[in-house]
Amino acid sequence: MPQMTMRDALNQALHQEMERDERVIVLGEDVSGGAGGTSGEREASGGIFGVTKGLLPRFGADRVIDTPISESAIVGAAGGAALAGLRPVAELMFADFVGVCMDQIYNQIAKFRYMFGGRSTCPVVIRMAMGAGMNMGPQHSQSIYAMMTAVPGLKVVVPSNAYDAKGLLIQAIRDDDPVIFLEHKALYPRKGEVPANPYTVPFGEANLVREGEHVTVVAIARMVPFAERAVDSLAKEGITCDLIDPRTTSPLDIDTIVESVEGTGRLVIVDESPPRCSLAADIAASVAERAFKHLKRPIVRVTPPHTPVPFAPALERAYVPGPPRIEAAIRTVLKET
Amino acid sequence: MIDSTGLGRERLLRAYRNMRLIRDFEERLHVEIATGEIPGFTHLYAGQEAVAVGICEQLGDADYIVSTHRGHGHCIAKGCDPGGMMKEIYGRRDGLCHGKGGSMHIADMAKGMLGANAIVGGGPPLAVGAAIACKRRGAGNVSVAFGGDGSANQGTVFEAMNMAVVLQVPAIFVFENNGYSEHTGADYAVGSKDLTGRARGFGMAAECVDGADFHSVYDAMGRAVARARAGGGPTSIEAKITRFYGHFEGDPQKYRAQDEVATLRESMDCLKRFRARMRTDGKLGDPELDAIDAESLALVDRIVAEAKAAPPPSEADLYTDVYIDY
Amino acid sequence: MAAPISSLTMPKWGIEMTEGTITSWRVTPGTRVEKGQEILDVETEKIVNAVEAPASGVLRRIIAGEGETRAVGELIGIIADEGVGDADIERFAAGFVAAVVSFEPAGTPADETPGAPAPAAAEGEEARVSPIARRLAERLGIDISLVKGTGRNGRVSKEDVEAYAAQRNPGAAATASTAAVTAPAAAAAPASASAFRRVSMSSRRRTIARRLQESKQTIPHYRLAVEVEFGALLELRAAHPAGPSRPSVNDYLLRAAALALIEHPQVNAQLDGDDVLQFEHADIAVAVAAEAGLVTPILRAADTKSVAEIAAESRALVERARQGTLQREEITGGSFTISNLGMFGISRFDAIINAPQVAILAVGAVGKRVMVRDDRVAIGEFATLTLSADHRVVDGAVGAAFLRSLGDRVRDPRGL
Repeated sequence: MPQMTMRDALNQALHQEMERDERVIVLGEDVSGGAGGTSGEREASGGIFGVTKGLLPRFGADRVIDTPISESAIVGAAGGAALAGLRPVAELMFADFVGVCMDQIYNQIAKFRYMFGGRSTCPVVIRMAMGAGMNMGPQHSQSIYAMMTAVPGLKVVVPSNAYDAKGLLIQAIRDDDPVIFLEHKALYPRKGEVPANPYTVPFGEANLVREGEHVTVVAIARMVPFAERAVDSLAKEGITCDLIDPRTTSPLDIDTIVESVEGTGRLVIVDESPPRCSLAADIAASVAERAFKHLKRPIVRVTPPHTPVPFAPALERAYVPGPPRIEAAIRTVLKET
Repeated sequence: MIDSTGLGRERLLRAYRNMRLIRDFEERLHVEIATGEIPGFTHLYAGQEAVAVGICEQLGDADYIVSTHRGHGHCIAKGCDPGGMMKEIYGRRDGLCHGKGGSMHIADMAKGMLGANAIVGGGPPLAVGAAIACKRRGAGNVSVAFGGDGSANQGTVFEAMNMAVVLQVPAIFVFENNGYSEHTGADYAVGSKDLTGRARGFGMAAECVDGADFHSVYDAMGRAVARARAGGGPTSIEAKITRFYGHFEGDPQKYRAQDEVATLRESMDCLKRFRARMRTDGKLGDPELDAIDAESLALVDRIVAEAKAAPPPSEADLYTDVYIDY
Repeated sequence: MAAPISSLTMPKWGIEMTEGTITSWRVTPGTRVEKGQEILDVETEKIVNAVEAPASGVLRRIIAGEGETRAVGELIGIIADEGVGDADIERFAAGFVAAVVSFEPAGTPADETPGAPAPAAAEGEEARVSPIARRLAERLGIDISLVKGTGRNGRVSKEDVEAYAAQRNPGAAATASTAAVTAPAAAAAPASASAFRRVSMSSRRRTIARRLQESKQTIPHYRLAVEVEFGALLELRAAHPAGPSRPSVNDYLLRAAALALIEHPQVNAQLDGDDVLQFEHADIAVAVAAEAGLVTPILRAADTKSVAEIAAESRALVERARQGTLQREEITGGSFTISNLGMFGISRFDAIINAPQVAILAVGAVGKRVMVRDDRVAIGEFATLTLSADHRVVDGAVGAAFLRSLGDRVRDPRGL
C-alpha cells in the first residue's frame, strides 16, 4: 500500500469525492488562492496547508470557491447551500476562527434538523486545522473538539493518521449531518499507509491502536502517536496497554473505552484541550458512571494546563503533553494503593 | 420579467388572499397570545404583508427564502401550510416542525422556505449559500434573505452581502425597514441612516421602495430577479414599512408616540392601499375581495381550533432528529 | 573591520515546514551572487521554491548538496567576500549553531517517526463490532458474524459476545481475560473432553514464550552439574546479624559468580551475529517470578560490589520486578543469568539460556547430604549448581573451569 502523508490523504479524499459527486463543492479563504493577485497564478496556495491543492484546476472555480475572509459567510453559505441540495466542504483555516462564526455553527447548522422537525438535512463539512505545538500563539493553536462536541447536532472528527483521515473525510462528505472535521496541524506530514481507492471509516467506531492488558489509554488526534510511543516503550518492560483512538468525539465510542476498562481496571486519558469541561473530563465521567466497580485506581488525565496556548517555544513545549508525561501517567495508574 | 401591470386576476386575487391571510393570522395570534395558551414569545408581522407577498409572488418553490424571527408572513407568502404553522406556534406534534421549532423556526424545505431564524443577521449567510446552489444548478433560481433594519447592522450581513457580490450569486437582500430595531429607532441605530446607500457601497444594485405598496415591492423584486437570472449578481431592496404591533407580543412599545400606530394603520395599510388600487385599475371588485376576507377569517378560525385540539409531542420526540444517523 | 560572513540556511516557508530537500544549486562554489538572487531550489513536502541569497558575496561553501535534506535553520551554504580566508570560513562553519524548529512537546526527541497506523475497517466495510468485542470473540473462538449486536446501530458489544458465549455454554460465565467455553468440535481436544479454561497469553507472556522457544530451538545447549558444599558459606552468613539487611545465600552466590565470570570472560559474554561481546563487568540477570511472568532485572557490575551492596540492590530489584515498575534499561543487556529455585526445594534443574547471553546458572536447594571428609562419613550442606552453556561460544572445558572456579569460591568464601 502506498505511504502517504495525512495532508495528501485528505487531498485525495477531496479529489475522489468531488469526482464522484457533482454536488460536492469546496469553499473558504485561499482554498485555491491567487484570485485577484497580480501574478495571474490562479492556484497560488491550494489552502494554506495545501490540503485543497489541485482542486481548482481539476474542478473549476464554480466548485472550488475562494471566499473573502468572512467566516460567518463561509459557514453560513455552506449551510445554506447544503439546505439547498449541495454538499459543501467549507474550510476555516484555523479552528480558532470559529469565534467569529460560532452563530452559524452552533445556532444554525447544528440545529436545523432538530428545530425544523426533521424536515431538513444539512450535509456540511467544516474543515479546520487545530492544535498546538507549532509556535503559533494563543489564537492559532487551540484544540476545540471539546467545545464542538458539546453542541448537539454536530459530529466531530479528530483523525490521528493518514488512513483514518481519508476514510473519515469521505465519510464526512457522504454524511447527511453537519460535521466538524478537525485536522491537527502537526499531523499533516505524518505518513501512513493509505489505499488508493475511496473508502470510509465509520463515525463512532474507535480504533484499538495497541492491545494490552494492564492499562487502558485513550488518546485523541496528535496525542495518539505520542501515546503510541509511551505505550511501546512500556511494553519493553512487560507493561502493556489498550491504546484507544476514538477517531470521532461526537459520536464517541464510549462503549469500547468502557469495555477495555472493564478488563484493565486502569484508565489514562490523553487530551490536548484544556482540562476543564474537556473530552478527558467527559470520558472520565462516563467511565466513572459505567465502570466504577472495575476501576482499581483513580482515573488519570493527561492534559495541558488550563491556560491559553503560549507562544514561546519553551512555554509551548511545557504546555503540550508528550510521551514522557503519558508514560509517567501510566506508571502512576499502575501503582498499588 | 413580469411587472405588476401584467398581473392577471388570478395572480392579483392570490396576492390579496395571502396578504389578507397574513393579517388575519397575526391579528388572531395577537388575541390568542393574550390568553396565555401559546407558549413562548411571538413576533407579529402585521403591517408588513405587502413586502412578503410582493417578494414571494415573484418566486416559485425552487427559489429559496431565508426568514427572520418575524417570519409568519414570509412563510405564508412562500406557500407554507397555515394549519401546520398554527400548530407549530401552539407547540403541537403535527406542527410544521413537530413542535420543536415554534414561531421563530418555521421551515418547509419543499417550499424553498429555509427557515425563520431567531438570530438577527443569522439568515443572510445562509441565503448566499442557497444562491451558490442556485447558480450551480443553473436553472435561473434565486435566493432571498429577508431581514430588518436591525439585522442590517450585523457583521454577518455585511459578510454575506460582500460575498454575494464577490461570487456574483443570485442573492437578493430584502431589508424591511419598519423603523425599529427591537425597541430602538432605526434612525439612531443605522449610522448612515441610509440602508440602500450602504448596500450600494458593497457594489450591488440597490433600491428603496414603499413597502406598503404591493405593486412597488413586486416590481422592484421583478427587476432584482431579472438581474440575478441574467448573471448580474445580488440586489438589495429596502422596503420602508411599519409594524402594527410591538417587537414581540406584550411589548408595551413605550418607544412609540401615542398615536403613531393609529396613524400608520390609516396611511400604511397595504390591504387598504391594494383595494384602492384595484378600484382605480378596475381589475378586481370589492365583492370578490370581501369574499376573500370572509374565507380568510373562517380559515383562521378553523386552524386555531384545530391547533388547540391537536396533541402535543410525546416525550420520545425529544430525542429524534438531532442527527440523521448517530 | 573584517569582511562579514553570511550563513545560508534552510528557510522556513509557512508555519509547519520543519525540513527541506535541496533539489538543485543554480550556482557553483566560487560564483559571485547578489542579494536577492535565486541561487538554489528547495523542495518541501508541499512545494518547490527558490531560495534567495541573503547577502551579496561569493558562494564560498556548499554545505548541503543536491538531494540532501536539512532541518529548517540548518546551514546549507556560506557566502563571504573573496578576501575572507578559508580558515575563517571553516571556523564559521564549525561554530554555526542552527535555530531549533521543533514541534515536539517537552522532553521528547525531535525525530518523531510515527509507526503505520493500524488499519481500521477494511475498505468500504462498516465496522459494527467494538474492537474489544472482536478481541474477546477471537479469544473465545467465536465467529463474530454469528453474534447479534444490541449496541448503538446494532453494533456488537463485549456484552453481546459474553451473552453469546454464555448461551452457547450455559453455566459458564465468560469474562474478558479468562473464559470457560466448551471445546469447539473442530478443536484438537478430544470430542468427549469436558470444559476447559481458555486463558489468553498476555503480550508479555507471548514475548517470554517466543524468546525461550527461540533459545531452546536454536542454541546448542549443554549442561554441566556440580555438587558444591555450602557449609562455610552458611557459617559466614550466620555471622552476619540477622535482620532485613542480612544477605541471602543467593547474594553470596551472585558475588562468587561475578568473580568467577571476570576470571572466565568467555562465559561473561553475549553472542552478536558472528561476534562475541565479552563484558568488562559481570552484569548478572536475576530471574524473578513476578505475577505477570518471568522478569530478569540486572545487577550491574556485580564484580565491583560487596555482598552487602549486592544484597541491598538485588532486594530492591526483585521488589520492583514484582511491582512491575522496572525501567527498561534495568531489564535489558546482562552478561549472565542466575536462576535459583532452591526456595521451592528443587534439588537440581536445567535452565534455558537467556539469549543473547551464552550461559545460565541453575541453583538448586541447599540441603544436608552424606559426604566423605578425611575418609570419614560426615553430614554436609550441599547444593547442585547446573550450568547451561552455548557450545558455539563456550566449550565444555571452559564451562567446567568456570564452574570449578565458582565452586571453589563457595566452598571457601573468605575471598567474597
